[in-house]
Amino acid sequence: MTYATARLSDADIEALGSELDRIRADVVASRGERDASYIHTVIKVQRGLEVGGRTLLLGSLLPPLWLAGTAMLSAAKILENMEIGHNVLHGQWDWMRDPEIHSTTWEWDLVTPAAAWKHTHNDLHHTWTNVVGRDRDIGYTIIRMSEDQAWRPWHLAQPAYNLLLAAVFEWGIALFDLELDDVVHGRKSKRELFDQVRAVLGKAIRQAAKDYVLFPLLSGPSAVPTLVANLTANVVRNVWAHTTIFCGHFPDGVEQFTVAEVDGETRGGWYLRQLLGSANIDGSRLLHVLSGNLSHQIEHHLFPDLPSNRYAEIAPQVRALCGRFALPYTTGPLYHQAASAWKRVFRMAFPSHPRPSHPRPSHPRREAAAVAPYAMA
Amino acid sequence: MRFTRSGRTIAGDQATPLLILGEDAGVVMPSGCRMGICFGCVAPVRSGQVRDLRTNQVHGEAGELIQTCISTAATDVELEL
Repeated sequence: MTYATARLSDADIEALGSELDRIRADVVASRGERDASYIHTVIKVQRGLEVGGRTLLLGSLLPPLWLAGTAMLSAAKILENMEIGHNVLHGQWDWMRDPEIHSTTWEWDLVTPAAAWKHTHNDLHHTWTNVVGRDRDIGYTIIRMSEDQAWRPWHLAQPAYNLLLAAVFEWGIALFDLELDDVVHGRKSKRELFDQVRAVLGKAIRQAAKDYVLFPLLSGPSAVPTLVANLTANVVRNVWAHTTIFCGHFPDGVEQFTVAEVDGETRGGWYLRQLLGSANIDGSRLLHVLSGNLSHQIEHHLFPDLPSNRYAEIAPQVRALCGRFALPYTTGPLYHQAASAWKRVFRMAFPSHPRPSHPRPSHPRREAAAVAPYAMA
Repeated sequence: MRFTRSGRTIAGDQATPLLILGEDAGVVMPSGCRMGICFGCVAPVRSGQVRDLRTNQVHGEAGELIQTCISTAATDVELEL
């Protein structure tokens, strides 16, 4: 626990939790037409970009058409994965009861099947956010992103292979979602792995057939430029997703936790961990939409199932709460947060000592709470 | 409380999440985070109403997918599991 949390008593943490519950309840009570029309608009724009982009690419022998088509397709893929796919799969739009826009039916334009990703992401990552040893997203089992993760010589190469990972991110996620290490350690059955490998292969073949065979063939004489355009759009989307996602939990100021620290965690404690374990990105409305509102990672982690268009609206309330409880609210512009996350990739490539173990929070927290200055609110 | 696919009927209380009631009765229940965030436990209601433990909101229409981990029975409930 840090200086900030050391000053919170158990009662403070529960008070923080109630305030956050109230913010959530307000949004849930007011969800309606305005939100539905937001997601319908985003889907319409995404489809327009995709159809437009792919149409222009039919004539992609002409460089201006190639450029415009590739840009539109890249934007379409980014919107589909981030603002639509990620958020639909979180159940953010399930309340509309529209079977077309529902976490149980959505399949996205990404190699990893939605079902596999929902398990590793919605369940494991969001439940165990930043708990070293439980949150497998801390480096996706191949990149060392915490002093508390054992250093191995191959980590020296992690800046290089993280760069490569950015380009092929969707394939990395597909592999990661198979949880091969769990199979090796007997935590997951070979049968389950077999079924999952079959599902991911089927999906990979469909994805590759669509982008690298079907649409290029439809382009006739522009087949090769179309293929290159589709490949480019996938790489652009991969690099963008990798960059924004790395800004979510790895920049300076974000805290990591040990399994012991979350033992017996209450709902308030879970909220607190989400707050301290996430970082936002400052930027324009366009940046928020293109990042799937993961630029509001803090709000997303507090309320993963609230519609993404609401995160910007509740952010000031969350930030004010942080002020009131003297808690950090980590945020910064994209270039700054991305550089900060990359700094960690480089730093953790080299051996380092584990963080000093933290005292059990109860006593120091209670004593310090008596002099905490936040009560003025 | 009735699980229509597995054909089990149990007398549950109105405080225990449906997920736990089902598991205790030996029904194969889909599950995930167990705290209402991952949507890994959703199942369709056939009849009856449920209460959301977080908001106390009572809801439930035939065919509605509900999160069993944070829902308790508000009336007699039939789940398609």
